[in-house]
Amino acid sequence: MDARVTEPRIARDFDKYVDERLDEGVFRVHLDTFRDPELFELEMEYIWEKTWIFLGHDAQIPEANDFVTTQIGRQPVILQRGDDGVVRAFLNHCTHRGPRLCKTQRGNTSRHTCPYHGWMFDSQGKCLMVTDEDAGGYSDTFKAMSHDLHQIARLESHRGFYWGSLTSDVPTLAEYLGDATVFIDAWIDQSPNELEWVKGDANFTYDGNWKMVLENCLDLYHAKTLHASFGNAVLNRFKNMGEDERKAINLDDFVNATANVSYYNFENGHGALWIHNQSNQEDRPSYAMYQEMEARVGSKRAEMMLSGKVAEIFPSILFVESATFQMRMIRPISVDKTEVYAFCLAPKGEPAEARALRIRQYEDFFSTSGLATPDDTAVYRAAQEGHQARVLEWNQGYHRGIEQLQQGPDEKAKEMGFNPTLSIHGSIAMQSEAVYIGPYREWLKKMKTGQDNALAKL
Amino acid sequence: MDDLQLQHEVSQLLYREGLALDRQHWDEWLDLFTDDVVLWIPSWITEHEQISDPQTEISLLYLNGKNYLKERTERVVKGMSPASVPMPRTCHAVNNIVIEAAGTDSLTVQSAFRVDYYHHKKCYAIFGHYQHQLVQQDGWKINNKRVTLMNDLVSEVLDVYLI
Repeated sequence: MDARVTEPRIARDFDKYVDERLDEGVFRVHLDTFRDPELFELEMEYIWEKTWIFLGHDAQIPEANDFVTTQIGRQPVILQRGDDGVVRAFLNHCTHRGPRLCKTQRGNTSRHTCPYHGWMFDSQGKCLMVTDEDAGGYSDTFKAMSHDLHQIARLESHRGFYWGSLTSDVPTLAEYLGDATVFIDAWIDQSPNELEWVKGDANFTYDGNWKMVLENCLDLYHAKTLHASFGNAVLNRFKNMGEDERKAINLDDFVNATANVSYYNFENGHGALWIHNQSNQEDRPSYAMYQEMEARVGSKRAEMMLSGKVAEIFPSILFVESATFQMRMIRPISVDKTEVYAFCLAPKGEPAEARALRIRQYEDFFSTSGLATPDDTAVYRAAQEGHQARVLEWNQGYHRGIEQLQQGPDEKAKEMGFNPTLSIHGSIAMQSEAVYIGPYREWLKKMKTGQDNALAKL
Repeated sequence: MDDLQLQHEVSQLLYREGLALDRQHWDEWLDLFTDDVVLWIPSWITEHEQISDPQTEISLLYLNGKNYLKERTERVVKGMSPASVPMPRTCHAVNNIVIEAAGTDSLTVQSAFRVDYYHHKKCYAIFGHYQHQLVQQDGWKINNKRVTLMNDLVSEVLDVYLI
């Protein structure tokens, strides 16, 4: 349900923002999607508040009364394990006069007491006390109201990964994720005991639109150019300090074009990529558990689990494995400001040496104190600034690989038994950008549906 | 050596470190460290609790050995990393310098710092506490620099020249 006061609004023709003419070899996204503040507001309303948004992982709230705070779009949310062990999601908002009840990023509490007038709620969201209720001269209508915290409309988990929706008008989470779970499971299954959270926050913000980090994580094309200084640093590291020094992703794969890549689109805007025949697989931390994985799930699946891959679950969360694995939660702040909350999940039972390598690789590549991500954030900002060239409607950034598009699964997907809507397969040198078709088709669909529903209410 | 003299020497060393970074005199900065230096910015777990073990938890930065510091300065010098092109103008200020433990060849020095910097026509600040471990190697050298970074939601980039 949308709580906005309904005011007349001018209908937009959203078809103007996504120019899909695949038969002519054209796919374009209008630059206003990155720079129009009003369009950003509509994205919050029509996309972020109308679909499944990733909220957190079981491992972050293992104990009764543990909570994390997050956002759905810009709306404050608490994900808490109640004293009954059940995980719930509430709006972080006192029913009485509205203060945010949980002020920290995480914590443990059996009681939420509002600092303003003292209303108290338990960890299941139930209102325990309206301060001085008896003397309050309240109407019967008030007394009949529920004062409990507002639980968001839907909350579901895929094997410990929680998504929530502010509207009940969404498919089940399983339907929403579809076969993209093949990718998510490829991380979960790295250990027979699944994943644990590696503590430590390394979050960041950048002066650019939220879709920039989404695009960037599915973009192999930038690696050779933008991350050349990362590649050089690592090469020098081996030269100066020896081959046993801190290992990293091998950018030679891009230079030599020895690997190949499958790109996929799934229903509901999800995209993925999976790198095959990558070199130096033994330098990945997950390699330490490879034999066990292979014995448990077979060599083809184990190979997928070890490989470099990315899954983008539209619109809020990126599962990224370059050298090692990071999850990136996207929090849009404004049309040109985004926060990224990142966390590290790792297979339980990983040997200490592999874990330490995982952590160093994570910091090396993914952190904004590392050697790769700061260059990404620098170009998000640069692109945001460049897009102020408002006489321009389009860029040329979605065309690579468009000739290799195929409907349905490629051979690799068939082998693994999953069904993407679109596939692209080719040498790593192709570095396809056609993988963005799925996310932007979903963007368009949500914007049109959202607008239709909003206009129908008037 | 009397206490005042020691305090003076230590303060000068910390001031010189900041100045070398602000002037982008990278070799001068690197010369202040021992070869086996550890530069560590532990991350936060809760509002007032930091990680304690860089081998099992995620740090904001963990560089073990001067070569890793050099990796950072060389990256700046080569100019291939858009994160540092153009370089921000930085201004390091160090104060509240307290020698917390003094042995014959080693010192633990606590201080407060603030790095103001100007980048993309905006003013930014990074602030927190330093804890330097100094050892005698033809004068005091920095063997360990631990940075408690208070404002840890990083704005686009965090690197050795900003802390």
